[in-house]
Amino acid sequence: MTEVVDLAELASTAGLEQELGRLAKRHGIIRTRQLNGQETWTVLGAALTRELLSDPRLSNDVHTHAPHGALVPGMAVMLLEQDDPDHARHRRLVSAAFASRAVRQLEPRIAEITDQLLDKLGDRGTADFIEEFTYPMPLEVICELLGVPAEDRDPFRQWAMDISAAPSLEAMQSAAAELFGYCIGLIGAKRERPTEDLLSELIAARFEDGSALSDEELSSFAAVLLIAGHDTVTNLLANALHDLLAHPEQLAALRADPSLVGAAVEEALRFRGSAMTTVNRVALEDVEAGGVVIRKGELVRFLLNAANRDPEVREDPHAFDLGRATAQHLSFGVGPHFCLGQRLARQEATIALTEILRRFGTLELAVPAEEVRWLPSDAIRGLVELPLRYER
Amino acid sequence: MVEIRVDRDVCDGLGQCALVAPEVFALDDDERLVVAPEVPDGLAGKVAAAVRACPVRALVVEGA
Repeated sequence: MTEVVDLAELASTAGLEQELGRLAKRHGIIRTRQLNGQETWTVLGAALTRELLSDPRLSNDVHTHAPHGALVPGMAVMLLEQDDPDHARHRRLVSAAFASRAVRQLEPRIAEITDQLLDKLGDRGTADFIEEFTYPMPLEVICELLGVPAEDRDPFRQWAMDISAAPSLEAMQSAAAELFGYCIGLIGAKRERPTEDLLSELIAARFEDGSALSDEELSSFAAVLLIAGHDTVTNLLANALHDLLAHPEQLAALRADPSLVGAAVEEALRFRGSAMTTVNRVALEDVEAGGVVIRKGELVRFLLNAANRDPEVREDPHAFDLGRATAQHLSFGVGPHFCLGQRLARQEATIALTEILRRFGTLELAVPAEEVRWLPSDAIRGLVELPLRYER
Repeated sequence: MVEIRVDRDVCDGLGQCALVAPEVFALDDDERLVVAPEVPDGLAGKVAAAVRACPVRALVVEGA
């Protein structure tokens, strides 16, 4: 296999997913270049994705087995860069906060935040929906859940942007270091003065043997929940609005029958999910897969937006069709690292889409479709901005 | 005789086990996990993989 694909370069085009589907049809797994210049295996095919995401020979613990594949050197990201049993032990501490019952209880507050932000749009007629809605909505929700003070939030967007859609390795690592430094301070403050929130709960949590999380572990936890807890939804919602507007007949069907909103959220996730690429795994031994041999110590990542367009498992994969409600997508991953926040993400997207369409009888792109810009990221799939014209 | 225990305090109906071993695990309409009363012969490997697939390790296999 000689072809090496530069994902970040491909990603700045709207046709990325079409190209990924074409590649997935020919190769279950390819070589791609990462931001730091190194080449890794990247899994594209849906069947191979399902198989390898559950394969214990691929480890998330890159800090132990392949430090050059870590997101940030010397800073293991809680949950994402851990294997079981540590991963499950830590995940259990927060799983109740993201479980079905807890997420249901958040519904009125999410609706209230949604209303407040949409009220602010008023009658201006045009707005960047990312800036004014899809960014602040999930950020407010996760900050309230974690207990992050409102006055601290100004730098978050830049940090999230530099981490998820990094312009360079240096920018990514310096943003991660700043975020981590902020979280250390936040944890220190909460230790002094506990509040009613998830971070204070984590500080007080004890494992069966009586031990607690260290400040470093707590900061890593705070950082990953804060960033993964909003950035993914920001981009998912913007992608969903963009793709609904690009398919007027599907939008009309949803307007005619708002009960289709669940199907719309699932199809938006499949069609252009925001968490495009997983973190690196490292092979603990030689693994034969998809006609190649992944050598012990080599890095592997999964390109979920390719698997979701794999023509092997999906008829007409490039059609945006709310009618395929039963089709299972891979946007939240599969196996032990199945997305912690998936219920919250679905809930936020459902509430937001419902309310936006209910309020605005007219909703359209405020710029020509070809002028919409995509983030040049190999990790997150999203738009730079989403200027929309709206009318009640 | 393989026996599967589900920690109901931890299980959140994420359904990852059901993806791996649908012969044994399923979610009902309320996303509650339903486990087959008996594990069919020859599925021990699949069941072990299903246990590993659980994000919160809510499954325990006994007497494998």
